[in-house]
Amino acid sequence: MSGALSAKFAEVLAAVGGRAHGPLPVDEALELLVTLARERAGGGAVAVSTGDPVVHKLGVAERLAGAGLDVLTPDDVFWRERLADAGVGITGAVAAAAASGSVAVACGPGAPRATSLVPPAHICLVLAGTMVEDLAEALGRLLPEPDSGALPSNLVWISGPSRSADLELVLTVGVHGPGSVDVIVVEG
Amino acid sequence: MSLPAETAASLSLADRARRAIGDTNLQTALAKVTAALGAEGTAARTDPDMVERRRRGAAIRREVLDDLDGWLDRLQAKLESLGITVHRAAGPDEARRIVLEIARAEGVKLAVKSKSMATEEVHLNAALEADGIEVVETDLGEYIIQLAHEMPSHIIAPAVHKTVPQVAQLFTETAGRPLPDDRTALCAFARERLRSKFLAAEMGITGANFVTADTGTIVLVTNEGNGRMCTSLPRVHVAVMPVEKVLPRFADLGVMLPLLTRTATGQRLSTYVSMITGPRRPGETDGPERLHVVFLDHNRRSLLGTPYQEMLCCIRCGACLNVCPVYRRIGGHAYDAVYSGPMGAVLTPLLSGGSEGRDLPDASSLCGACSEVCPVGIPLADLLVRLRADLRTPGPAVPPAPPWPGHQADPGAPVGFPGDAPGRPSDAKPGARAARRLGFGAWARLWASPAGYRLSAAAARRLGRVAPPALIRHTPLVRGWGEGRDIPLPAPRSFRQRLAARREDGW
Amino acid sequence: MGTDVALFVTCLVDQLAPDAGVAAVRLLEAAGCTVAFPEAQSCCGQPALNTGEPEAAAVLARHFVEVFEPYAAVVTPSGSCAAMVHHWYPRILEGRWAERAEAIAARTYELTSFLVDRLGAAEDIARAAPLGDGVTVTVHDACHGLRVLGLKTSGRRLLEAAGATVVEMAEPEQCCGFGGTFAAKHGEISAPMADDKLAQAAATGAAYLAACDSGCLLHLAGRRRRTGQGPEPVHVAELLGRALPVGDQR
Repeated sequence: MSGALSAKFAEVLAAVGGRAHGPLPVDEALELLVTLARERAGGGAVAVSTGDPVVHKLGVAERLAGAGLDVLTPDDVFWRERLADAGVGITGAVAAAAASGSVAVACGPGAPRATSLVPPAHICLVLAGTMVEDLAEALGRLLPEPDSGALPSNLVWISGPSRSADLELVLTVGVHGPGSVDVIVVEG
Repeated sequence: MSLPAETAASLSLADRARRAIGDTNLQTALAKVTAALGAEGTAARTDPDMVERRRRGAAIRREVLDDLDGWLDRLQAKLESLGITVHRAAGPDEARRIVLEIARAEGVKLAVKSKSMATEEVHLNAALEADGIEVVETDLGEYIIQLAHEMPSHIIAPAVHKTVPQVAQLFTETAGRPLPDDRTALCAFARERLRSKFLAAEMGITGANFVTADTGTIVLVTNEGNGRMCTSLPRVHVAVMPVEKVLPRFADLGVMLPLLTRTATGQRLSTYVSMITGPRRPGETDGPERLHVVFLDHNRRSLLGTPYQEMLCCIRCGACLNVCPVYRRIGGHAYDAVYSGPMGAVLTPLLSGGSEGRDLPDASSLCGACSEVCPVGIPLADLLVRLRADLRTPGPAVPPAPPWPGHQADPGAPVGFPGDAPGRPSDAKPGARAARRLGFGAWARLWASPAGYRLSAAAARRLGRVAPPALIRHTPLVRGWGEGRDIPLPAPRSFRQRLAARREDGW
Repeated sequence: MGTDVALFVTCLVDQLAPDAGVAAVRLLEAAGCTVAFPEAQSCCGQPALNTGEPEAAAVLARHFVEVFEPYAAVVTPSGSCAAMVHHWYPRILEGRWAERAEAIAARTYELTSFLVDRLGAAEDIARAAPLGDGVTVTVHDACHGLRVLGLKTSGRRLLEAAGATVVEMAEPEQCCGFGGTFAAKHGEISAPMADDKLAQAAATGAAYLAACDSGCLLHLAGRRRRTGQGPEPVHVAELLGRALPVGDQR
């Protein structure tokens, strides 16, 4: 079942200009993450939302630092300034919806809104078990009872790279948000 | 060539239409956008997967309108429990004053805006700029028309009338250095220029696509990322929410969001859907420290309990524009209003309390394509017919709504005033209006009598045969027809006469 | 087994396009109907309603109700007039009048739909009015018939059954720009809309542009006389009527 969902997710995300990888076991996922982060960063810093539960659970920041990458974390005193020059931002997601190729990125302490917004590339880690068919199902899971305590102050559904068709209706990618989006689906 | 707003206002609708039809760049752009987006809207209508979604979306919208004031009260309580400040604006003056006061209190010098038709409706930018605050539109299309000092020409693609060379010229003037006719370079310029604004702005101003009453969540649907920038980086966020945007439940978003995006552009979801539930929380690194929501009425509540209540179901998808055969030819600027196309022709006279857009309902062939494509089932064509009758007398089409209980409306804030706005080509003068009504009444009674019909028809036939074509051409109504077409003359014998003679004629 | 129908010929057809009315009678008779023509009829009231005078339209609506109430079925060669009866009469009339109007609307039919869907008489018509396979026709779906009454297939069915080849234009459902009073009030928009329709029709190479609404056809014909573009606009009934034998009594 999860295999079919992941396949659909990958297909839809590719159609809107993003790239999906996996589902992969944790170790392979992290290896891929290092490779992708190095490529996307292009010599710049790798910004990591260390407070994000998925990122934290997988030990992402440590792994990237261990691989020799310049890791920028939100507790850095110059986070906001250095983020503007980072090459890639890495976050987790609380859910994914296959029908629209979307990941839901929540903010919180140590997981700023800007990580998946300011750098020109975004890599998102999502646990396969949190992937569902569509938005309606995802919203139901996120909020079984209407209690906004469970909702983060900012939850953004991201479906591929930033785009605009405002110039003669021809698509341009990467207008304000990231022009490059990779989603790594992690088994579990 | 596109019209600056001041020029547009001094021309009649017919003249603006003629200019638009003669503008080949515009005609090309219109054909492109309406074909592309119109196909999506039609596909969304006919897709079997969408039928149930459209039905549910329509039901959710009507559920809200059955008790709008109640839902607003519940929403306000929820928003306030999250630390959000809620303001109520009865009309545009009040809305402008509220946002200006927030800006002053916060020492705002620069505000960045995500696309919001509601803020254009109340002419917010002008009010802030008059106070010395720089306001920058960050949606690429809106940024373009802001630089060009024009109104949006389409609700989803506001700068669709602009060619790439025209945009290059605009950006070159702004940049102070030459920019090529290249989309990538132009987008890169916009990205770089607007990024510095995002980082420096003290205030982000947005609209709201939906706001959910059970969780107090503000939902913004965007593709570029500017909406996210406006609501993540500045220390204050102001969301202007037209009152009908409230939804009962967070779960309703699962129905409404894909309904909106599929119908508007064919996208399963827009690139970004931001769900904002309160300001920055302790321990967070970014996000607004203070969050304000302004409920905007502007005569919307006056539609409740009237046939026009249906218009409040609108989710601003733009599908009606894309399938409208009139819009396809004349484009958004010809309407000379913030909202164009069929939904604009209905909303403009209603929201303005009858002071604007009185001539818009006439600029329709009533073909019904709009009603057919509307994802929430608004009978737009029927509302246009009703408006033609309800705008016969000066003033609003419907009486004003009672104020919110306990709400001190701004005393100097007219929400609509009788008669036509100054400087606009007006509709018929009172004498002509009365004459028309009497004329139609008399005609109807004449034709409700068999003898009356026979005699008047016979007289018209004789007149048609002997009157010179030049005279016919100058008779009102007939003249309008004769502008582009040969005028059909009465047949030598009417059907009745031929029926009576069928035996002789041998059929 | 004859079906009794009353013909609502419409003021437009009566005064400006009677051929369509004559053809309607003959086609109904070819399908086995007995056609009554209540002389007291006049206009459905659309021009008043569309001009924003619903009270005047209601006067004519009440007259229609009184004239046609005695009949078991009302048939009209105009989709827009039938749509007026179905959609607007219950809305502009009140109380008992509205109920009576609804009852009549339930038995008021557009001509081609009556012949094909109600009577199943497409083959009878084809036999009586064979068009021959050299005849090529493109069809315009008049707006009110299409969107209010769901008319789409009946006109085409009649034409094809009679042997014609129907060639679809790019956008048969796009409004032709007539819109009743709109055509006169906004000729500057209405004429280009007609041009779009005539251009699409011309592109099909068909010899005829057929529809079930004389308003659309008069508007298109008038524009065509100015520009010379496009095939001959003609009512579906009238086109078939030309194929009926001359001097045929039944």
